[in-house]
Amino acid sequence: MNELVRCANLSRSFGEVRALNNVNLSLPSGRIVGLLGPNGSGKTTLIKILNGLLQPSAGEVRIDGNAPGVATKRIISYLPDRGYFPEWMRVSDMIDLFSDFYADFDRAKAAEMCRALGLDGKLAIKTLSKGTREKMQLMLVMSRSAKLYLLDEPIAGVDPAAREFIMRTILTNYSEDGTVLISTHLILDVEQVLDEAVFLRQGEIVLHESVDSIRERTGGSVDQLFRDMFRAQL
Amino acid sequence: MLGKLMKYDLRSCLRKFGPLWIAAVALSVLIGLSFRYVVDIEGGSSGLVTFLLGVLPSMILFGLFIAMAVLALIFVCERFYKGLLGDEGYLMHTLPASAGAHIASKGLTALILEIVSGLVALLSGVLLVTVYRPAGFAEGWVEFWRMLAQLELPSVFPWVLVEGVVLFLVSAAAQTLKIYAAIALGHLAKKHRALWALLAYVGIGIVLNILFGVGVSSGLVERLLGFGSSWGMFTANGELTVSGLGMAAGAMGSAILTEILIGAAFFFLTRYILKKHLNLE
Repeated sequence: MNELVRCANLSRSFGEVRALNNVNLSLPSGRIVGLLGPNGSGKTTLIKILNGLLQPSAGEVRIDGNAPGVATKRIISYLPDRGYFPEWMRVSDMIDLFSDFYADFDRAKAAEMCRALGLDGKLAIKTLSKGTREKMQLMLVMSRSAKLYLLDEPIAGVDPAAREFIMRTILTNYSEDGTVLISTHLILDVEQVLDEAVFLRQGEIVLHESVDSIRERTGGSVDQLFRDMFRAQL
Repeated sequence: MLGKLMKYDLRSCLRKFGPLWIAAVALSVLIGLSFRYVVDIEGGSSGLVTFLLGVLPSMILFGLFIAMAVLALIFVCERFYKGLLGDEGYLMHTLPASAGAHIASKGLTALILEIVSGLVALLSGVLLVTVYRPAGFAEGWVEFWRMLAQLELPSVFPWVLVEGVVLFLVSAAAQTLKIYAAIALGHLAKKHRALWALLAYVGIGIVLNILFGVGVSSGLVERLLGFGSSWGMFTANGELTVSGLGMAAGAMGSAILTEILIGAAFFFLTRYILKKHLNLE
């Protein structure tokens, strides 16, 4: 399989704090990868660097052969761990914006998801509840046929029913040629869909293995292995 | 990408200022009508009528212009700060657009906002007077244009006018880019970024003043602007001379170039920070 993401000796510090330390990672196309680690382990920092929202202190990143920039932003669909909607916009404005900027955005798919969510295009975004805004953000991100989906904590802070909705939306809408990188510390909810797992601890990758291999090797689940490895931190 | 970015920046601008612009124009027409038909300024109306239908609406219109100017300044700062360095930055900086395109879009939108607000203020004034038609206004207007046509203006005059407009535009753009550069510098701080941005703005002003002072004392500004030459700007009677206008044209040309250079420095500083030191919270 083609290498889609490559991080070589990647480090990022914030003052004295080293958020990422000499990370080496290679991800192929067409995989669902769990970026797993406790809070503060460097998951969001890594995703921000892949996105070009942060510059590494050392090392380099290549997405589909390019350093993060305009070219990589065309092929990455990113769900941040916070709301990013401009307050003045309506639902239809956001759909127009995604349609204007991303050639791989599928308006029909977005309209279908809007209907499923009961979202009227004329609604002002500021009138939507926090939960609906999060779902709308996911809807926009998953309406793209991207090469790389970077989903930062998509199921954190939501109830089990919403988690199920979110995971179902991701699985039924992602482009199968693309790679999905899901960062989370809620392993149990994502384990069933993962092809690979990457464990991050204090900015370092301590494990990168296929889920099948983990199960075969340990005789247990990824969640169990995670709990064993991070017991002291959890 | 610049066009697409501007489409959304202009829309957000229009949503905020569209109603204000319409209100200013409508109010000026109402005041004009009120002056023409209801309020007798020459003394026929009672003090209360004059106040309620003449003075009060005029005060509101004046207040609206002040509010428009203040809101425009807040809008310029807020759209850059919130739009590119707040939570919205997670959306904007992951769009396939360069940092330069983002700054240009915000800057051009700010410039358009300033120009349209200025034109609305001008239109309001013209409408007020046109609707009111004070005594002798029509005759005065005709006389003004007749005198203007009779004036023998030097050939350099239109050029000076064009330069004046260009200087106004590049100065406004440079001022906006100065605000952006200060906000971007404030973004480099770990905490209290808004406060650091304010300090950076003051600091930039001080540095520019020092540079200007050094330029004046070294004679550089004098040479650049063409002052100090043997040309006289005014005759002994106090009239503007042709050579004086020529000198003004040269001075404004130098000022335009200086503003462009200063604006470019702010643009590239801001772009560098957004590209290399972006750190959204």
